[in-house]
Amino acid sequence: MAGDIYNRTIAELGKLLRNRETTPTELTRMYLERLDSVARRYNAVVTITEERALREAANAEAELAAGYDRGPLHGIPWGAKDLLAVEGYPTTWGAVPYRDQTFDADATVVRKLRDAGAVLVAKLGMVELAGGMGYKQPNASLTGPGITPWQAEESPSWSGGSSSGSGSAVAAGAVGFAIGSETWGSIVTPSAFCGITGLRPTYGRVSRHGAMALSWTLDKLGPMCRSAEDCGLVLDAIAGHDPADPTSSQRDYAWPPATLRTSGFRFGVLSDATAGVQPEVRANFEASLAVLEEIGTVEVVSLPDLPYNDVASVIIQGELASAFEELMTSGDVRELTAPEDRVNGLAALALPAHVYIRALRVRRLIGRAMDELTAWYDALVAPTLPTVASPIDQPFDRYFDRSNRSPLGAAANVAGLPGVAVPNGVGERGLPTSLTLVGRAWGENDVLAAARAYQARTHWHTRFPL
Amino acid sequence: MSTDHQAGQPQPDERLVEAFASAAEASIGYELDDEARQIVRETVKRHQTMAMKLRAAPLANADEPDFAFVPYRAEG
Repeated sequence: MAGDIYNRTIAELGKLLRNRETTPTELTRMYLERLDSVARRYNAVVTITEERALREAANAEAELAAGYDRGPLHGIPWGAKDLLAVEGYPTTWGAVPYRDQTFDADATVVRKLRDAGAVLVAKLGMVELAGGMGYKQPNASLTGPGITPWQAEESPSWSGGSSSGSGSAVAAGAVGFAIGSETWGSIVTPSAFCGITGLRPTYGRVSRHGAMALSWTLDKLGPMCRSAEDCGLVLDAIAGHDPADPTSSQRDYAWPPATLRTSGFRFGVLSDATAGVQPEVRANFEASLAVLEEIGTVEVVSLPDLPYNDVASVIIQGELASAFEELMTSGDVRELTAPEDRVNGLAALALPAHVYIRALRVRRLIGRAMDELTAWYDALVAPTLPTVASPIDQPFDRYFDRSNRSPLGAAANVAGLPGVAVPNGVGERGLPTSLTLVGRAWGENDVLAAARAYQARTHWHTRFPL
Repeated sequence: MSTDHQAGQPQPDERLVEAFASAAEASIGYELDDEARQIVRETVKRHQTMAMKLRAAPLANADEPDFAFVPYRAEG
């Protein structure tokens, strides 16, 4: 049982539980051991929540035995990025100044997953303060640099950030699924570098209550899993309005949808999607397009000419300056792990208000332009990132040019659009590459259905690094 | 605004960069060393460059920021 259980999807684990081939407690003990013996190697773990996990597993076991089934997540072990408040455990935000911080209530997402019967086994590593201070190399967390489980012995490489532990713990089979957060790239990047499937929901789809705020108008919480199907199942459990987060939407969400499409999709491919990408990334993307053509139409499109990256940067800088003003003005910022994080954010304290407001005004133009474009397609597609993961001991700019990052990521985050990253091949040094599908606002089920159809025709999401 | 003749790109006004870098340092309760001061200055310069790019996007007076203020009234 133990040998191959760690690469099972949520549906497969649920089947094992309901067939009584294992129990929630047995499953939980296996994952707890795996977190300690394997995931720690990748600096993926902040706190193992053993006492809570065994209590929740016992509850799930009793309920399932009594015929009370809470649904597909019932009895499934999961991990939370350590910016989610969990009662009774530290919530460190990945940062030394907050290493002893505690909250007296669970974040809404944590509560919703508990209500769905999922078993919280760990709080997972992350880049300090979700990367808002401008880290430039992997060693920017109180738990050490995040390492992808792929080629970890031969060529240790970065897990991606800021949801680094969520990415590597899922990839290593140390949790059934994880929750990450994205302000600008923090779900899709570790999903790509760790070879897993990650969903950035539409802004407002999931309550942010109880999550660390980096940027109130850009932060999103979302699932990081072994398949698009799993992402839908988790989103179904965590989506919905929360009075404690006024920005959370009243719109209904359900997975699976009443009609689950498997073909007939319309894809838009960015005209410059492969400009400046590594050769393997390009080849894998072109192979992905061939698969997408089996399930839909593919047209070349261009993003409207707007300053996406600048708007994203200014909004984040303006909001983080307020969110972390006390940390910076007190000097406690000097306790952060990455030397650059101790200084990079300070300039934001003098960002003029009119510049921030202008960014918000241009954001509205971007929202309308992106809606006009995405209205024609189920998904815009592009390589998630131009490269595979960088070597663990190198500054990012020695391996890839950040100024070369695709404007699609900034456009999607600024406009609050959903996107899914799925593994689509092997690149340099045997590391995973990734395909991203970006949809219209509230179109999670369009991108997930397309990603699911893609994964039904490919095997990349079933590969396992260990 | 000055012009970088090598790159042909407009550059932020140095007076603004100095002023905002000084304001940032004055906002914190401790002294920066020269290296940190230079990083703050370079970051301010990037902010000013971004601001110039934002100013190039066409906006009318009626183009509002993309947030909505909701007056608060407690239930009951």
